[in-house]
Amino acid sequence: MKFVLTRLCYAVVIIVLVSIVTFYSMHASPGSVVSSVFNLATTPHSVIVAYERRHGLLDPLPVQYWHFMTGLLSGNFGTSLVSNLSVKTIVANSAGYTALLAGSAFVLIFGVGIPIGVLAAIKRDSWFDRGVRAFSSIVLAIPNFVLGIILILVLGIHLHVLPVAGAGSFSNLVLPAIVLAAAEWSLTVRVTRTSFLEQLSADFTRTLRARGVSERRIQWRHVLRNSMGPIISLGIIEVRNLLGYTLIVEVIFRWPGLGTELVQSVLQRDYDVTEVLSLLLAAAVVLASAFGDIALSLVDPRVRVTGEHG
Amino acid sequence: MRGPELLVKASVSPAAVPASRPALALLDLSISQRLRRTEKRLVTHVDLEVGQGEIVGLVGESGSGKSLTALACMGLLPSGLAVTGGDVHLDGASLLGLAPKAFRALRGNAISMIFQDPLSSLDPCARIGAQIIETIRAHKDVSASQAKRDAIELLDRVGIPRAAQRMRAYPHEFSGGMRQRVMIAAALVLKPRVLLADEPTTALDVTTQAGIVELVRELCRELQMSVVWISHDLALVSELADRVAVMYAGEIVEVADSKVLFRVSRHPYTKGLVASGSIRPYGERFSYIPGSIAEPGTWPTGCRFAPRCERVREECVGEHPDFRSGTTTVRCVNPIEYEAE
Repeated sequence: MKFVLTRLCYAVVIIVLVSIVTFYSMHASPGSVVSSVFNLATTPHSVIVAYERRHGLLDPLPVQYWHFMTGLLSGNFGTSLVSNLSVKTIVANSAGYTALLAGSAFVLIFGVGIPIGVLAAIKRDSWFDRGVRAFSSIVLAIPNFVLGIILILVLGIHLHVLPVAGAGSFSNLVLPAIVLAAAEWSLTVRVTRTSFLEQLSADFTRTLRARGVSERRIQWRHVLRNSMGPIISLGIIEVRNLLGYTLIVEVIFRWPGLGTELVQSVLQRDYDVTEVLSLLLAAAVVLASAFGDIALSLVDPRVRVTGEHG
Repeated sequence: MRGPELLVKASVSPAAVPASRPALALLDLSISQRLRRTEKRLVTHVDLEVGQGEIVGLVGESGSGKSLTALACMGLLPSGLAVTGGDVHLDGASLLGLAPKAFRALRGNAISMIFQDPLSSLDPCARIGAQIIETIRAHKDVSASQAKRDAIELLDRVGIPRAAQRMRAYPHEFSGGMRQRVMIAAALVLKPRVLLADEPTTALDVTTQAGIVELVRELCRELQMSVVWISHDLALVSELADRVAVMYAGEIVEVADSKVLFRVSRHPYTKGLVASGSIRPYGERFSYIPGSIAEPGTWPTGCRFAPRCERVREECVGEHPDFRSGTTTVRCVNPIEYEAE
């Protein structure tokens, strides 16, 4: 319990830090939201100043940050200065898409990756194992945006089997989910295989055999659980990468999710939108690693002990 | 190769063979490592019978093949190793001829094994209660609550305090001695006919050792169970076992009643083992056997102990010695003789 509370405190500190860094770097970078709202060449300077004053853009940065954060805590997420939509609406419209995309990638990475890694380990040195190893090294070697473009060209434009952009049907989801998952899937398969093989030769498997426990049960129940440690540790990093890559993949496939909105808001210096969306992503990353640590302590009782004392 | 040995077996001394049908019988068992073209012999022509309720000690240096012999009886040789001759009988029925599934049904049920390091030998991520219950339910179609009751009862029997609460503990929460008691409980929960104990006390301190030895002795009596106790500690084995078989370089070199073996060891190797383990007067040097055990693949054609033996004679290096009987059964052409007492 203490372990969980400590994790939560860390999470809050990290999220506050992220909000400060994002806020400062957005305002410190050249350009301003007014260039997205007005045509600077034709609008009189007084109009712009009046606009900036009305939206508090002339206040000192700490004051602006204070207004933003107090607004957040009282449930006011701000408004897009460009589209005049409330940030809540923007998030509500796009979060579902990102959750769907990232969720599908998550299932591919772990739901498909772990069983394939285990099968490769069980059938060590078989054609299946060799195939999986070769395939995963190839996939791992291709950056995901390159893979995305290759798949768009081959499957989308030449063969016309899958749509290359947009959202709305299952077939729209296939390519972006695969591209998003590919590299991390390969890593998961390889780490699962290695970790599983290591545990498969551990002394306790011999004891289980000596008690007449079936090989299948030894593998899927005991060995798999013991080999989860490295898989989860890697998984935490993978989920972080996954959330980062969503930005790229959503833009490539014109997927109307948080990533697309975030990239657009950064380009338009749409401060409130950028700030809220990056906080959401940061919160997701922090939550994912907190969940990962909790999962780690659930599969391995020895972690629980060190966590409580340390 | 086999003929003369079988003849000798027929005429061994009464001390070496139990009267009733043996619970476990190793019949001319050989184990080899399969290499690309040849095979490396690791254990050769081991004959050993263990009567019902009898405790037999299997003693020898590291690398003499004791553990491999036990693993072969369980059908659990590491990959790359295989039984290349002979058989193992459990209550007169062949074990090694069994299909994998039928063999598995006997493991942990009719024949069980405990290992040296109880920490690495238990699944670190599973509660000890679950590990014992799993053994029960792998063999018996009983309800979860019945299995749980059986497990608690046995944990209590092997001396785990507050057994019911400790069911939910993990292996790392126990001391070494308690962990070995858990291992014993998991191995004996189905009351097997035979227990193979592979140096179960080597990783424990001396006071804990005594408790485990006493526990196995009691359980052996209670369950009418046969035990093969593997150890390099001759003193411990002679205390516990009814009979002792001494292994050297992959074969048995001497078998005898444990009391007899300790006093009148006829094989020079056994004598060396006894001497190196015995308590000596202050100031006297430690006794040891010069040289080191021959590695598999480099065994001499004659007696495998000949290069280290102080009684070595010309005929020792020529032909491989067969068993001779006398006070004990011994594989030596020039055994130590004792005056009739």
